[in-house]
Amino acid sequence: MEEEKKTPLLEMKKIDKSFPGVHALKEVDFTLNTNQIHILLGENGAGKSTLIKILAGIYQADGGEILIEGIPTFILDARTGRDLGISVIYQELNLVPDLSVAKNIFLGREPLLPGILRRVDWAKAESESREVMRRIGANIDVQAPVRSLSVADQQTVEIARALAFDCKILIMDEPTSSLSGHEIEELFKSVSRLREQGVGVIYISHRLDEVHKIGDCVTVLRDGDYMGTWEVNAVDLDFLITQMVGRTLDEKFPWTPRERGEVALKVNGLTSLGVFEDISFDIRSGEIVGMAGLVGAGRTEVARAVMGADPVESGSVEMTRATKEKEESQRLPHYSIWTALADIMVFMLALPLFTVVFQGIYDPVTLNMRTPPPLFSASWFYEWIIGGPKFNILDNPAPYLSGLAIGIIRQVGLWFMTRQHAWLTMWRDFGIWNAFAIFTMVIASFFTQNFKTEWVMITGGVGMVVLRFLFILNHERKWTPILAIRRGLGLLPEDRKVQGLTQVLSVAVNMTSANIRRVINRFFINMAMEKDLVDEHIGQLSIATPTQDTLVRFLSGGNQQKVVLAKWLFRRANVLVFDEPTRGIDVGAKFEVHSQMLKLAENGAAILMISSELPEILGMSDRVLVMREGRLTANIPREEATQESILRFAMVTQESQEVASDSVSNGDNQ
Amino acid sequence: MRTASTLNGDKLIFGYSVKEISWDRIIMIGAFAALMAFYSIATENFLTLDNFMNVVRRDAWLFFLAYAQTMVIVSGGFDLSQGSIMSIVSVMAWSAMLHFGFFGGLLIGLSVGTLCGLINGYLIGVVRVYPFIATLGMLFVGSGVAQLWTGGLQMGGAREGAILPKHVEDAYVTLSKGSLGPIPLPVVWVLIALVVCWYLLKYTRFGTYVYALGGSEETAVSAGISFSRMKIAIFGLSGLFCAIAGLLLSAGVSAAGEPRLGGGDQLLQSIGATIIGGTYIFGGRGGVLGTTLGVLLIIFLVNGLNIMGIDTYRQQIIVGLVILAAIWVSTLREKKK
Amino acid sequence: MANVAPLYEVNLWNRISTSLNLEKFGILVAFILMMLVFYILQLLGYVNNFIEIHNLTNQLRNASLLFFIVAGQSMVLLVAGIDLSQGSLLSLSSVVMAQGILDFGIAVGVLMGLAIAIMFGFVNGYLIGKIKIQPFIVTLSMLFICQGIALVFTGGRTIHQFTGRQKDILQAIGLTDFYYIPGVFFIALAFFVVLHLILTRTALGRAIYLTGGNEEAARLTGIDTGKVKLICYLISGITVGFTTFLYLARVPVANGLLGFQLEFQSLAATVVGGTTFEGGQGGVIQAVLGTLFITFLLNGLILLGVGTFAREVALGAMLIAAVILTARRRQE
Repeated sequence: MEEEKKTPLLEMKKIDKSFPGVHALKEVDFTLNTNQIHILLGENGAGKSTLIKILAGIYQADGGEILIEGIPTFILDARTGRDLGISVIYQELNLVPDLSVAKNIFLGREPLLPGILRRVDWAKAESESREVMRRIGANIDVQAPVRSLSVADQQTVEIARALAFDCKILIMDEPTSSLSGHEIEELFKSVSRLREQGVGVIYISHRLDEVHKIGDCVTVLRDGDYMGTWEVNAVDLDFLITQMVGRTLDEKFPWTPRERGEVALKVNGLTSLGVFEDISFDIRSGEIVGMAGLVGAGRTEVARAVMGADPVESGSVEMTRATKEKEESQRLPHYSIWTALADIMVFMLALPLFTVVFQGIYDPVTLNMRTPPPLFSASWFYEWIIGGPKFNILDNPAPYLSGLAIGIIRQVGLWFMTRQHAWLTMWRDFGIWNAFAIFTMVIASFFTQNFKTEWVMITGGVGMVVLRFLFILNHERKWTPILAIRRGLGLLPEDRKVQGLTQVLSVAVNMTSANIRRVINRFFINMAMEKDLVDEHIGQLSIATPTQDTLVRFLSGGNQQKVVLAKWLFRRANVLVFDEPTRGIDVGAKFEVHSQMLKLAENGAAILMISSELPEILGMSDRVLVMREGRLTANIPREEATQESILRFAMVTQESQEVASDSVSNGDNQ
Repeated sequence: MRTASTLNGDKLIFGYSVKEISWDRIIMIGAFAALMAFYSIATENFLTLDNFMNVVRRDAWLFFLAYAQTMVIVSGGFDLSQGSIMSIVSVMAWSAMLHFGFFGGLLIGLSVGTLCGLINGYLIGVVRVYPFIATLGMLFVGSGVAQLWTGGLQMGGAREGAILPKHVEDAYVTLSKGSLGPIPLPVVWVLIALVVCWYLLKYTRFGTYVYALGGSEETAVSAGISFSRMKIAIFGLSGLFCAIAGLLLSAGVSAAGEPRLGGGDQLLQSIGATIIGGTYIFGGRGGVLGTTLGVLLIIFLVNGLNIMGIDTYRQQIIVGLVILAAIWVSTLREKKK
Repeated sequence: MANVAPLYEVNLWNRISTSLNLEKFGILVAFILMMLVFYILQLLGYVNNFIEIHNLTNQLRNASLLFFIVAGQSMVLLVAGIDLSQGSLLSLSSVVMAQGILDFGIAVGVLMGLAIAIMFGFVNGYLIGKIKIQPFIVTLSMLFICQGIALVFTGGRTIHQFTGRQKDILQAIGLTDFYYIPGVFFIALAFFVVLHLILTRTALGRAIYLTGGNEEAARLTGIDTGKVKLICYLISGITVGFTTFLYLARVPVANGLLGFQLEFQSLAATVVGGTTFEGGQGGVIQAVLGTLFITFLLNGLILLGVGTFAREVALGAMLIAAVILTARRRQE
């Protein structure tokens, strides 16, 4: 495609940037013209994020120069960047959820009405927002709070915002990562419109199929090095991949066939509204099941639901584990009419009994405490309990009836709500009843000198019932991480720094955090034993850390991941969920993690591996599950799995998609 | 597309869609009405115009505290030092009035309060200390300074020692006890404050930025909103309002400089009113209209208890319980979302 | 791929403080410096009787008393919480205890006081741990509720009419010294040992640090963070109960304002000692250091002639300074 020779919109020459320990960009060149969509490709750590952050003004380059429309420019900070017409749309949406679309678009640049009151011209803001929406062909209500929009619409709002400020250079960082089929099409339409209007777009994506769909030219970075720029039509994906990776897809994985055992994890019909639907699968011990899918398909959410970390609307997770720990749930009696009756009897008798006890302690008339007789006196016991105030049902049936009523109400309520464990809560409810009664008595004493103890008891009882119901209503989640972990589940979260480890604590503490009991000796931790075991795991996994007690935050990403893995090994978890296990990790550590995974499987663990890296999925899995937009679309055995087939199940196929070779799909991790 | 709805002040609360609001408001108004009904039945003098006017006159200070707290909370922060600032202003204004007359003292009082607020804002916005800690420190230091200033004694009022000249004292007292025709002056102040705050939050850039900071600090900062300047401004404003509250309360009680003025549960009530009024504790949502309702709820609750003859200690317990319960409920509802 | 950029600000101050282990030793150094300063002042004649045996004994006694609630506050701060109700709970507990002693004898009275402190500690812990309401608001409300109850209970009066015999027993516990070391010091020491063991050598201790350091990660590791928080607030309540008893043992007087603003000191001592508001960092050793620092600082200031309120200001300033120095700040 011939282009006029004109000054490029943007030229970055020999940009160099280093951070402590990382040489992020090594004399990188980058040129962008107007009316162009320029795709930036590269693996994790290749430097894409760093480059655009320099352009956005967030970092300053150590070397090299930047020319905008031929003029050397120094982008001091984000504001300068914006003033120069550079807008960035990040992956994590940068919107204020509770403000309206128009307010978000004009955030920081609200138009003012003339006059000293400095009143904002919302009408103008809204009408201009509508105008922008029209320009990108979107149909979004500018008064709606951003929170109420879908993710795709929110992204469109971001684009609108960029456009509203006359940006010349638009940078989009993985914009389609949370979008699906037709939303992506809409996005492409908007971006194309932008291109027509003269904007230069820098587009970062991990989805190779998008290169040919929307790009005009493509630049590849690898480990901070500039590999080259080509027109999109001149190259094919294999070539690009080789440039990105320096290798063909022939990665080595330590996979060997192994025996499968019993089903260790069984997920049935798991549904979380709006996130995923009807997820069912099994994993046998000894199996490694890969879960593929585009980012946003719901894989991490499923993992968290399996862990019990997030509530679900329906479905179940079952785990079987041969373990010495007794299954508590098996010891709990189920609901039956006999336990119900017994429960009610207890409450019926409790009220008068308590009344007696309390009347024994408190003098209801003067509300002073009675002087209790000396403790440990036999006569006291006799007098109080045996020879104490007699109660005859016929004389005063009220307490019994109220007790009966409370007992029945409680039972009926429990029946409707839980159908189980009513027996267990009885003692706790007693305690609560007591507490309530005392509390009520104290409060009542403020207002009056004269009240009947029975009323106090009844009020207390009512309060107890209400509270019990509130507890039950609040107890939405039955499946909790604690239960899951006890049954042998372990999760290595996607965001290991934030969710997997406690950064301010040491390697040793983190490692033993899931299973302290192992090193406990009659209440106290056996420090020597802990030290030895931790050392053992450090050696086993080759964790590079100066000492056991080094704080985890000083370790590199790969080593941190190893600590997380060690944590579950320490627990001897036998169902493990790896969520993006090797994201952001160097090659050497990657291989080690894979080897460990295999070893675990050989020892009988059941492994679910969520990954966005297809070679990893293909290389390590015995079976591949594919998720697409919250649904499981495929369950492919290893022999039949290919990149094409997986991709086909992972992506929407409305029209014929180009399932060209596929992707080493990566997420940026700077 | 929805057609643009008319911006009727009552219905469209900034940042909230009308649908979401209804429930909160309805429940609150319902609770309020129930409370009123209960008191009307239980006591004699409750449901009179006189009583209402008096209540607002006496407790106008809470409005100011709560409005300030609302703005701070909406922007994502917390101001724990409100009580102490009230104390400081109370004593320093009194001293200043002794030497500089009413208006001089007034001016100095307001300035001192604003200064404290600005210091808070500086610590939070520039030094980047967590608001909780910064204002907690200001709370400690402030209450100490207030007491230091007077040597622990109350100034003026019933005590011996220097007394304000009569005309000054009268002017001071008028702040709280005067009336504009049939309307008590404090009501006027509150209405002015309400309008000002409401306008600020809804129609100025400043107001939008307050919500933005609370809703998503990152977004706000990357949109070019100056974190430090906003925080300084917001807390400075809070300081100013606390100063007004302190002056009003002192004026209403005894026109004295009371170093322990803010030592009671003012802070709790101000936070309580804000949260009850529907402001989200982490910021981004809420507004002064809701807070007004919250304040009304609290002051009438206390008023009713007063009329029923319950002593202040018991009132304290009940108010504490009510606020705790309200926040409990608010927390539960947030969890469901 | 090589190292990931560290999470915290890499600036000069952080580098210095990490390499010197400033967090742990800073306060010790500060303490020694402060003692030196006052000693010099004493030598210069501005201060009488600072480094002097009776003063030291008294201060050690005060510090021992303070230590309990500081330890309780530390536990709470470790799980990223705060307990503002300590002071008023102490007041309430003291009046209940005092009245109980008057009515039923020392044993029962003490138990009653302890019971009420524990009960409120439990309520705090429950609301914060299980219902997950903001700790600040819960304990602030409790502050006023407890104070109100205490004042209602006593009608604003003071309870002091103990019999001579009761006073003797109480003061025997509170005021006995063994060769110039107060008896309560040993109690505090024992408590210190127990708490330190719990924090460093038991599963509960680990759970506390994990919960405070990163609550979500702890949850995903199978720790019941709600229960851990509840236990911490419960411990805080227990420590308040102990302290109440020791207060009465020292001076047998109880009223609704006994613990007024005590939480100021408690928080200041906790933070100055090195336990942070973010949770996961700190411990009982820090509590000890902080207690000693604050106690002797206040003592020095009193001897220097500084007035009550100036001392409050000093306390507040210490708190802010300590926090600014030790807390990790939010990123730019």
